Amino acid sequence: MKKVNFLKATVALAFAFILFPSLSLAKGEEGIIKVTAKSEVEVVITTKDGEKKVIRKNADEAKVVPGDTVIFSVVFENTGKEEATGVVINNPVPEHMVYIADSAEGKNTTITFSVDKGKNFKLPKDLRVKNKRGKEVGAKPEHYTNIRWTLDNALPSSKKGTVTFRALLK
Amino acid sequence: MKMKKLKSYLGFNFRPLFFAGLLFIFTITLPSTAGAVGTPAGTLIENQASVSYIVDAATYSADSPLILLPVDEVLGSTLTWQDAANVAVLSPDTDKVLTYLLTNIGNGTETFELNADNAVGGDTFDPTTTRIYLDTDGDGVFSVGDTLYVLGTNDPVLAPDASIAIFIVNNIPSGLLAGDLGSVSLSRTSTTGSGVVGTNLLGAGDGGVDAIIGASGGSLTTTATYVIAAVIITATKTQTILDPFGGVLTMPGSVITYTIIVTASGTGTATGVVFTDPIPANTTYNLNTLSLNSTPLSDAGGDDQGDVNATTPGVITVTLGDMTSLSPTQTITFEVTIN
Repeated sequence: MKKVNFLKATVALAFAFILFPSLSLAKGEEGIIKVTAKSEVEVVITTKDGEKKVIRKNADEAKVVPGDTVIFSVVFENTGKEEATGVVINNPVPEHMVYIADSAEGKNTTITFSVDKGKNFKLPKDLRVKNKRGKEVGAKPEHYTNIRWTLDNALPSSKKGTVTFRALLK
Repeated sequence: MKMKKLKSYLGFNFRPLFFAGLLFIFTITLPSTAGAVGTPAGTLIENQASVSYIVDAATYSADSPLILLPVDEVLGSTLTWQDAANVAVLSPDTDKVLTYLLTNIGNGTETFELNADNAVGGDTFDPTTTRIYLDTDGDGVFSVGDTLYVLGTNDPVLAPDASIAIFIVNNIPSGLLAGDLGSVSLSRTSTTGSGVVGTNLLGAGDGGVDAIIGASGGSLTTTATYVIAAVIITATKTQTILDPFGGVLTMPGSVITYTIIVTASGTGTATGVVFTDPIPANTTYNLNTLSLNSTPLSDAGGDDQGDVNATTPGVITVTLGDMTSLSPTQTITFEVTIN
């Protein structure tokens, strides 16, 4: 009888993987990696000494109008006791915004991009899109829909990191 | 033979005479790049990152809290004079039109106040009775369906990227010379605010977002100019008299030869110039003496450029057509005999 139960469990687990390729955390359930997003803009301020200085300000406190660049950051932290492997950060390029070429950064990560809303991720040189005539051409930064940072190493307990990119408000 | 200038007594006139000036055909190109302005003010930019990872061979994923970033409003507009060149007018003239195009290049809906000033410096004259019309029917051309603008009553409201043609209509004073210039300026001010570029107007934008004064400063003045282009048609009439005795006495039987030189001056084109000259009283026209530029014209109507008594009884009529300052001098001659 135990054997049958185990089989059932395996089948159930298999189904779970088919239906939910990754285990999403239900509300209130604590995962070990906390992820927060931040949007900032750079503003020029004049210091007491009359020097001009560029500082970062939370975008919702600053003014964001068409043509402005917003710096998006994703902070991730392993709050659990076990190490996490295969850590992948995914950030869609927000609607109304255009990714700024070469702006994605992340220490010890491999950065890939998608031009199909996250179905496929590739390095910029391998991304293709169809032009108006239906011909495949190399994708440009404005075609990017998603950015993905794949951590090269495991994320040990209580370690955190940040990845960023910049995008222009259309 | 004695040449006598009769400038003070010119018994002829021009009829009908249209000083058309230069006819400008202008088209208004409305921006076709919809969406060029940018993301509308008040739009919420959503950003949400996600992470996936593996712990003990189980894959997990989590989303960051959703970040909402409201797009603020940037105020911007362009006001351009649409006429290809100074608008040619007569002196005097009425209801002459200068065409402008106002475009909202900001990312919010804007209301604009308009002001016209006819007392612009640096010109020769001030156009009068200045009125502003809005291109209500949207055809880009001043027409019956367009509405008179009244400040604060029908201020144009433009969505982002939208344009409206604005017409400044003036009368032109008399007594001006060809080439005289008269300018009118049109200014527009966004009712949301104006001032120093970068000024932040708290909560003044669409949907309560902040509005920022863009590069065009919220207020802008554009000048447009009329040029007096009336073609001045000058006709100089001279006469020579030959009396029956070979002298120059004015007496019955004396033959008067009239020579009329017609020239055009100015910057425009006079269309359909027709020279008419009544045969002087107490004289009789000498048959078959009418000529234009030394080429005889028949007295009959309809066969050439001139006639006597045919178009108008008792009148010499010569059709000269369109004339500009570049047209060759037109010389008309005819003879009469004093009764």
